[in-house]
Amino acid sequence: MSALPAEAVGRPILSARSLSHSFQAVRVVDGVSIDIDEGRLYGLIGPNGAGKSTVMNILAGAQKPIGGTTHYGGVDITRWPAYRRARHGVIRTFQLSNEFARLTVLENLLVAVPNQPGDTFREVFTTPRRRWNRRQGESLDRARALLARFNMEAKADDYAGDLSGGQKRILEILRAVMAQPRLLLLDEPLAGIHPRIIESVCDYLRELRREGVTILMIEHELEVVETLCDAVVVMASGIVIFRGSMTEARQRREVIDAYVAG
Amino acid sequence: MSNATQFYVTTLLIYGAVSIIACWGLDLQFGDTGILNFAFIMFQAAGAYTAAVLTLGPSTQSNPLSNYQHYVFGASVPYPVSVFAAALVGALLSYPIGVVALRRLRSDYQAVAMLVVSLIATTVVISDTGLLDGERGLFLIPKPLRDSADTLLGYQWLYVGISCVFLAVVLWVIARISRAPLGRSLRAIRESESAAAALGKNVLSLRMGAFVVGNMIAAISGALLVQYIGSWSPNGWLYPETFVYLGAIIIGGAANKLGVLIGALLLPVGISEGVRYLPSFGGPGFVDAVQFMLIGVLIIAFMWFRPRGLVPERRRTFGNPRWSFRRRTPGAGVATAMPSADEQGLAG
Repeated sequence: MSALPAEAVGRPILSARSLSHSFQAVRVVDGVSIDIDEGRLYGLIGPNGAGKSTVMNILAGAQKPIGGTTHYGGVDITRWPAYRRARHGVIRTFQLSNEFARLTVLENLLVAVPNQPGDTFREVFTTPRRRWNRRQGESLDRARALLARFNMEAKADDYAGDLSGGQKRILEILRAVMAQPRLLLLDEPLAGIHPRIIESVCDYLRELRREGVTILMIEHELEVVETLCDAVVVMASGIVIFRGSMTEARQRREVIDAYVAG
Repeated sequence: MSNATQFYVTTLLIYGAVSIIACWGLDLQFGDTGILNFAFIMFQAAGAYTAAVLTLGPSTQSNPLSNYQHYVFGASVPYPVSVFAAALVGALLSYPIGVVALRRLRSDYQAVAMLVVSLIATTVVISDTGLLDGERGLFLIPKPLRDSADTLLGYQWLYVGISCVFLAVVLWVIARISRAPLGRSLRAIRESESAAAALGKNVLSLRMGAFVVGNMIAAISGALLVQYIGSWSPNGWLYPETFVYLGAIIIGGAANKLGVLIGALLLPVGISEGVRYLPSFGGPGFVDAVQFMLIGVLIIAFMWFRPRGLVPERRRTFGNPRWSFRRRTPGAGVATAMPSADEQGLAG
């Protein structure tokens, strides 16, 4: 990942228009529009049940909206399945840890590497093992360096399912980073992480932003959002009630009401 | 070794090879990818029927082999073209079934759908007697390369050799898949489809690939078996047979090639041979039924007490010997900016 050229920062990367979704008769997302500019870090906040995770699922392609469109880099990706979005750099993490439990920590990270030779049925029988291994060796170095950064190198060969809740969260973020994201969608990445680690995770997210990764994160800790995010999108009852800076959001009546009521 | 013992041993070796091949194919689907293919036996049967009709010759009155049986097509292709054709049919049959079952259905419903497909296939083959001679099945299927051996015993050993060649080829295929980055992706899909898709894995296409390759291997095992025993009928591939193979994998150790090999020798071969030596008791067919009871009890016992099987799945490490890690002393993490991994564990 290389840093974005200065003129690229602020260019729109993702634009969702009038997204809607309902579970049975309940409209959980109702005409949500979100614009995300390249190289920025956004917070998606709101009380429980506001529809934040559903919006994230729709943006990642995991759920199909009943209405609305999503454009990414100027291309209409509304009908793209999750894997296709991921291959173009839209990588997400999950609200509940979704690690590959019976794969080791290192394997979890290696699975994410895009365009790895030997990763399709055709390539297994048409490319020599040397090629897979060379590329895998490079990825291994990267994966080990990431683990070392979070003092998890001793866990490299442990099954991911045996990690603690906090470590699983970190693994999930690192796995997403291994996938070389352009737009990173993080669903409550800090939930369950030890308070002393939160700061280093935040530093890491800032570093990713500097390297040119655009980030949209759902987060409940408003202090964290305030120090970390360039801008926030506030949702309540399935609609967007505010877009702007966190400081501004704190003063808005409707935002305060939503939190009090929610 | 007396001739009789040699004959018995070679027969066991051939059955063993067939069941190991089949179990490895099913394990690629079940152990590695997490697909519950309850129609597996149907793909073995498809391979067997294909090899049979391709070697029996045309179904005409003048053909002494086919005088009393009716079947479609009928040809006399040379060996091992019949086996390759069987694999091809196994693959072609996988597509329509896979597209329907793997695309839209949740895994437990997929399993039920596969079971139904297996039942439908049996019913169709039994009802349409012109297709594959119905309930009676095909018989007098020519043995391949029979002229190459002078004696029956010599031929037995020759067929052991042929079986071992196929065993080696299948092992090479599944080991290559398993060790490749592809194997890792398949296991990731087994663990979490949604997370794999979120990392850019085309889950449907990868599952489909494992389904097709596994079923091709099933078809090869069927072709190998039918050309040895010389007959094939619907009774030999009723749906419970799939559970025998599945049981072998669970007992041996899913996603472990050696474990599956041991399971394949213990269950489909070991138990059916072991039951043969039981004294006859109960009504007719009771001893045969004991076989299925034993298999059922064994599967439940293993799921309960040893769910990973006799030889559990290997943990894959990357040339990172554990002894090379410096042992952490308590408090070592405090000196660094970050708490140690164990301290992070407190958060969970």
